[in-house]
Amino acid sequence: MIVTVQRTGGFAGLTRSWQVDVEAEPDTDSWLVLIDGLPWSSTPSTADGAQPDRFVWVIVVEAQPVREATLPEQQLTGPWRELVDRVRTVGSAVAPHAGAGSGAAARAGVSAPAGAADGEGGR
Amino acid sequence: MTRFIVPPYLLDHLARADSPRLSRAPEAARQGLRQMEEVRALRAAAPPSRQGAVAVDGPLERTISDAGGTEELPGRVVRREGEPPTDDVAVTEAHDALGATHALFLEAYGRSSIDGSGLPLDATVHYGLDYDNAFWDGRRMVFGDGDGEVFRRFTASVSVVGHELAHGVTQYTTALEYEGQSGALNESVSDVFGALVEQHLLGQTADEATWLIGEGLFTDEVQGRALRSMAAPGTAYDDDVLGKDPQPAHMDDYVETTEDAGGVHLNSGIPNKAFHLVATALGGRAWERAGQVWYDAITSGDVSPTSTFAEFAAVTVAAAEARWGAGSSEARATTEGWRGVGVLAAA
Repeated sequence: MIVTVQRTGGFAGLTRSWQVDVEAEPDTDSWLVLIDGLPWSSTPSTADGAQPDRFVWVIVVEAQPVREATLPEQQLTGPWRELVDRVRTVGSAVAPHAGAGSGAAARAGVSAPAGAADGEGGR
Repeated sequence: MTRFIVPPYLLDHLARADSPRLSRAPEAARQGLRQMEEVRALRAAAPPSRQGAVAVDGPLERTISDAGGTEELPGRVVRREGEPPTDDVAVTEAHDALGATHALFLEAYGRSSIDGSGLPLDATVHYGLDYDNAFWDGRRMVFGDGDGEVFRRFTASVSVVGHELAHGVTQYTTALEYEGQSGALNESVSDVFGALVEQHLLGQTADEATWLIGEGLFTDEVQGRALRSMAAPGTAYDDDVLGKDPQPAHMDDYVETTEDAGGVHLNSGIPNKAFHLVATALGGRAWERAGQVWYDAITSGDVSPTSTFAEFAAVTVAAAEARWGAGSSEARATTEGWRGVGVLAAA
């Protein structure tokens, strides 16, 4: 089950993504507990206190059904923050790209074969 | 700053009028023009701004805090206004760049700090861990140290500091909504004044300036000079991991996207290039005329928070005409700048 976190916005306007296949992780159960416990249906509005040049995080869990949340940086707290930090620490960095393309297109790129992500190294 | 209600070209016309209806008006107009000249001469004779100099008639009160790698704001105060530099280069850079920003707005436009009323300037450095960003949170500037792989510390670029503080100016003037075209304008206004802060600090003319935003932010590993180029959007970097600078320079290449609030950091390239065209067409120090047009536009009250590029362009042209007259080189350069990026139709 692929979990992708995408960070967009920021002063540089760059989009960076990280992903992990939680079923391939040794502690799959703790991942699933964390993911199931998140308030997917009541994410904070991105309009609240929007600040220029802050990051916006998009979290996608490719389960049945797909779960998705978009959070301004200021709202990335508690278990949301915990999930993002785990994915960034354990997962692979997907090649950052600067800009164009809809969110759906970006996710399609993220779901590419693992070889594409593996070659990208630490950035 | 002294503001004259009757624009100079009107006074000029009146000063030369020769009509039996007018007995006192032409002389009054000549006096008005002489007074304007005196004010202009005084401004031109003012000493150049120095980094960290305290403004004479606009209070400058800087407080720099250190978040120590946490995300707690404001952090611990480490330098107050008037105190000597510390060993922390990020603190020094933030302090000096806040001063340079304050100096541009006061000396060029008579604006006392971000809000026009002497708002104290606060900054926090060392925010977060490997935090590759900087932002204005509505009350203070916040800087990360970068991740050391792609980005260095964000205090290293004066244009970045100016950009962020200009978001504060926007907050107090146009309040341009941060999405779509109005968001790209919000971003562009920050790049414009960020660049002008740097040029004013360095005493550069439009020809001498780099017109780069965030020069020096990238580590040596990245193939790129800066984050954005106002002179040539789309050329600031071309890196095998980051990709290529995606900014468009013309409306034909406007980016439709859902990322980045509708590409506000991308499409800002278009109004950025328009400003560059105006500034280089007029020549000299860009903050004096092109920057004045933009400053007049954002303080006119005529820019709606949902402005499109075209609506903003119209306000800048009106501002140039109001100050220098319809048909003036300033008004023509402003119109041509927007035509050059496809926002205003060609003649």
